[in-house]
Amino acid sequence: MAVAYHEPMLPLPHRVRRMTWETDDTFTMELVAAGGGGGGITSFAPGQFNMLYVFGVGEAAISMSGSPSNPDTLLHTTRAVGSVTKALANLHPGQLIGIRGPYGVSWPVDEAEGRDIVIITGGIGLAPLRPLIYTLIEQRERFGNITILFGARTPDEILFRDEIEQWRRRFDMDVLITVDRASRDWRGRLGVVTTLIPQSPFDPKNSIAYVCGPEVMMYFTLEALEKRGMPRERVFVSMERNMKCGLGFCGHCQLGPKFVCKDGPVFRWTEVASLLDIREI
Amino acid sequence: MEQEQEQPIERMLRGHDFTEGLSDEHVARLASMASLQTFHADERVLKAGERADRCYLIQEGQIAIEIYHPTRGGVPIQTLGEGKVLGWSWFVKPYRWTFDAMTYTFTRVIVLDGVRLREAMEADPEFGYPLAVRFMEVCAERVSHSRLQMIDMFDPH
Repeated sequence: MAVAYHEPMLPLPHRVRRMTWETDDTFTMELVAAGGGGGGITSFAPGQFNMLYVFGVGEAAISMSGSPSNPDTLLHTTRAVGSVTKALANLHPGQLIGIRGPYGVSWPVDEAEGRDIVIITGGIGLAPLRPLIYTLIEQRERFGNITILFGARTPDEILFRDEIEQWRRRFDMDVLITVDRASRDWRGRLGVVTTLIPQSPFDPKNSIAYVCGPEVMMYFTLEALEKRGMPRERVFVSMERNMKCGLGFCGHCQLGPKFVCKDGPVFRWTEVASLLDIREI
Repeated sequence: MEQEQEQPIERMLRGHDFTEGLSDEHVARLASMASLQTFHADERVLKAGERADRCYLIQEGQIAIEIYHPTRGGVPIQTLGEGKVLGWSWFVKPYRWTFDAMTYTFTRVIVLDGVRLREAMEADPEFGYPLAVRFMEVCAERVSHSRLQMIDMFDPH
C-alpha cells in the first residue's frame, strides 16, 4: 500500500549533498530529496524546524538555516554536541537521512512591516534567524532600519563569518558583532551581546525584535530592550526544548501550558516570560 | 542682558549619554572640570596601580579594559565605545586604577578632573548625588556584563 508522503511521523529520505564546517564544532548540511525533484520538503517559513533522523541512531530537531525561497535545497546548521548531532557530523555527501517537517511557528514577518527591526542573537542562535534575514533582505523596502546584533564566544566561533561580512558591507542594514573573550589580536568589540543594545540604531517605539540564543542571553537581552523602551509584546524569541515528536503529542518539549514544537519554537515574549524558570522535562 | 554663549565642551558634554537628564547648571559645572583629549590607536590610557585622578567620557573610538597577566601580557576583558564611561577608581579609595586601558582605534574623550569632581560632589550633595547614582549605574552595568561573561553562556557543555 502506498503511504502518503505527508504522513507526519514518516521520515522522507534526503541525501547529503554537502557538508560545510562553519567552526570547530558547528557544521551546515545541505540536503536534497533522495528521489530527485519532488517527494521532499516543498516549502518552509523562517524559524521552522525539521526532525532529522540518522537511521539507527535517532532524531534531532534542527532549524532550517537556508533561504525559504530555495526550499529544494535544505540547509541545517547545528553543533555536534549530542549523539544524533555527532552522527550527523560524521555523514558524507551521498549518504541518506530521514526528514520530517517542517514544524513549528515561524518568525512573524508581516508584523514587522513599516517598523525598524532588531535581531539579537548569539552563538548557534544565528542559524534559525538566517532564513529570516534572507527574507528581510529580499523584501527590504517593506521595513525600516534593520540592525543585527551578534555575539559569539570567541572570534573563531563567529558563525557564517563570510556572510556576516557581506551583510556588514550593505548600506541598508547595520551589523554589530561582539565576542565574549579574545586576545589582543581581535580588534572588534569585546563584551556580551547585550552591551550592543543601548546605542543600536532602532527606534524602540516603532520596532520589532527577534531574539535567539541561550535562555540566559535572551533573559538579559529582554531586560536591556525594556530599558531601551521596547514593549515586550513586540519581542519574539525562539525557545529550545527537547523536542521528540514535533507534533505536540509526546510532551517532551512541554513548557508550562505550551508545547515548544507545536506552539513555538517562536513565541511572543509575553507568552513565555513567566515560563522561563520551568526546567526541561 | 546678553545670554552667555555655551562653550563647545559643554555642548559635547550635553551630547554624551552620561549627562542625559542632568540639569543645565550641573552640566555647566561639569564642563568647568572637563577637557578634551584624543588618543591614537594602541595608546595606553590607564595603568593599574597608578593614581586614579580622572574619568573619561568616550565620544568616539574604542578602548579596551585589560588585566595584566604575567605570561599572557595584557588580557582584554571588555571594550568600551561611544557614549560609555571609563574609570571610576578616582571615586573610591585608595584612588588607584585597578585595570589597564588601551585604545584599539583613534579615540576622542572628554576628561573629567576626578579630584575636583570628587571634592565638588562631597561638598554639594545636590550636585553629587545624581552623579554618584550615574557612576553607580556604570559600575552595576559593568559588573552585570562581567558576570554574563563569566558564565560562558555560549559554551554548549
